[in-house]
Amino acid sequence: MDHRIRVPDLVIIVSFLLLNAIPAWPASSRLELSFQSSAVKVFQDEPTPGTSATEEVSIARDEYRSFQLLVAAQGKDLHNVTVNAGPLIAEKSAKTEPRIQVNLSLVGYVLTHADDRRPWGKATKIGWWPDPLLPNRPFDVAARQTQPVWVTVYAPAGTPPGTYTGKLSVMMGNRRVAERSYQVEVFNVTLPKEQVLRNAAFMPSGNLEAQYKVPGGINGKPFLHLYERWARFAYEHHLGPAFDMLMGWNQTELRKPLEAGSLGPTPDMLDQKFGPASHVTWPVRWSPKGYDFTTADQLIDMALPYGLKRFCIAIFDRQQTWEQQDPKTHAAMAKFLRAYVALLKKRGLDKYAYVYNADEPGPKMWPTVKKNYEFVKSVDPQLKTWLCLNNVKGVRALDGFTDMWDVYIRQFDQSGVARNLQAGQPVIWGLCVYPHEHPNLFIEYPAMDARIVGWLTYVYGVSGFEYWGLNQWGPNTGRKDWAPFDEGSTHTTWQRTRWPLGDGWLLYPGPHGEPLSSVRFENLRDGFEDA
Amino acid sequence: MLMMNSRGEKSEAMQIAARVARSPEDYTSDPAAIQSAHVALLKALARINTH
Repeated sequence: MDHRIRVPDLVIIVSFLLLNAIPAWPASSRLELSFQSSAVKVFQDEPTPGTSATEEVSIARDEYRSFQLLVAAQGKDLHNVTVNAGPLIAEKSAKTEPRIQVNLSLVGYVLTHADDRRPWGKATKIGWWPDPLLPNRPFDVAARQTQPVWVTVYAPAGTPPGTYTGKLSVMMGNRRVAERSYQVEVFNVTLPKEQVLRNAAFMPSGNLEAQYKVPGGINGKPFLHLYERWARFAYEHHLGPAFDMLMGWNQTELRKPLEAGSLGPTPDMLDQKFGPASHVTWPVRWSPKGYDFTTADQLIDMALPYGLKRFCIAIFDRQQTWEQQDPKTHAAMAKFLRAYVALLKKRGLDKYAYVYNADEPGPKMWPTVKKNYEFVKSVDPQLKTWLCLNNVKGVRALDGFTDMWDVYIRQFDQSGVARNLQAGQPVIWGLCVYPHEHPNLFIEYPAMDARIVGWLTYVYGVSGFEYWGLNQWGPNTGRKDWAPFDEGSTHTTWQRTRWPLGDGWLLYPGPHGEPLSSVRFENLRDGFEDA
Repeated sequence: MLMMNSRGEKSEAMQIAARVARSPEDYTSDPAAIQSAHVALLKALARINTH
């Protein structure tokens, strides 16, 4: 056998060795990495100003902070790209710090259209807007486009203060093609677990049930576990569902079809055993012994460590006047409220319970608002009412007929509620489709809008923030294929609802019951943690 | 929750918070100011905790 190597063979061998010795060269030349703040929305098809080659994260213990790693494709498409996070290494000891958690998500995109509802007027961009944060997985980047990877760092209590270095590795297939380092500075500061701002969001259980159709239905244990998972996720973002999580009486219009209404219950939420005069809703149920508060009790246990100090137990009708309502309904509601308050008194929580008055009442409903208030006081003088107004004249007209004011941020000054705040009355504020002015939480508004909500809440001395929807998904409810969870694209097929895009949801339904955050929700949390 | 725990520390963050309150629209285009205010808050609180 001839063992001599011929010249053509030599060329092949050298080429093979060169290719394998420098595996990163061909791929890395096609991609560019940079860092971007979490407070900037990155469009895939536009250059992003203000990117940086380095990233430094400053963080308190028990605080979350995020930044974006931008993966840009140069001349050619990139396929099967994966980003992985390595452990954080302490600068002083050069040892790994396993307590610091790094979570990666892919920024997903929602398509906007020229005829979408935009009360603010002209669109700043028609096309793909960043919002949902999708589970990390291999992805593709088209030539001259950018894919942001959302990086969230969390240092739990007990993490030693100091500087740490982390690495983000970029793979194409099974080859590592690039790497970027970033620094995390953990300060000698710990955020308290118990939340100071008394924030409250609406997260209808019926919407979650309709999305996941858990075995056993809305009254089963598996659904309760699912709901708790979502509620904890929301509380970790400082906006737990205290608005409706314990709301066992809902007198607003039934949500049928599912996407109709806003604060009304779905048919599944309603306990039908009471007949037409009943408005008893999940998590409260009827049993032969009377009201069954077992599920509500469990939810209270879940929420107490977060500082559950304001929650609604009932909501009035928003359409019928007091005179139009059936007196049997008033009697049933009184019975319900007495039973609920008795339970809460045993736990020392009755002072935190509210009955939500008619939602956003116009002047025609103001006499009913007063009657509702007097009715609640007749049931229990200590039981409080919560009044949400979107009419700036309402605060003066209804002064003396609520225990807490709830106004929209851009109506705070006009409403004159500052005077009530100065007099020591509780005030909470919120955002909704109206008024639409900045700041607001629409997908087409800057990320900074969400970030400054916490700052404004602190500066104005308002006791908390309320929002009408973490999961008001409208026609998307029940769709499991809204995002390509197993493919390379990050373009979703999320559909618009009756409201401007983003209005009514900050969370998206992930696979296997997983709540997925959004660019807006992450910025909202950052602002609350700043405050 | 950082500002609420700062016990009245007159930091850069407090001044920025006041400016944000006066004109929120201006701040939607200036993320860097808010980010630096966050760092200033952490530094101020760490100083309190150290002494």
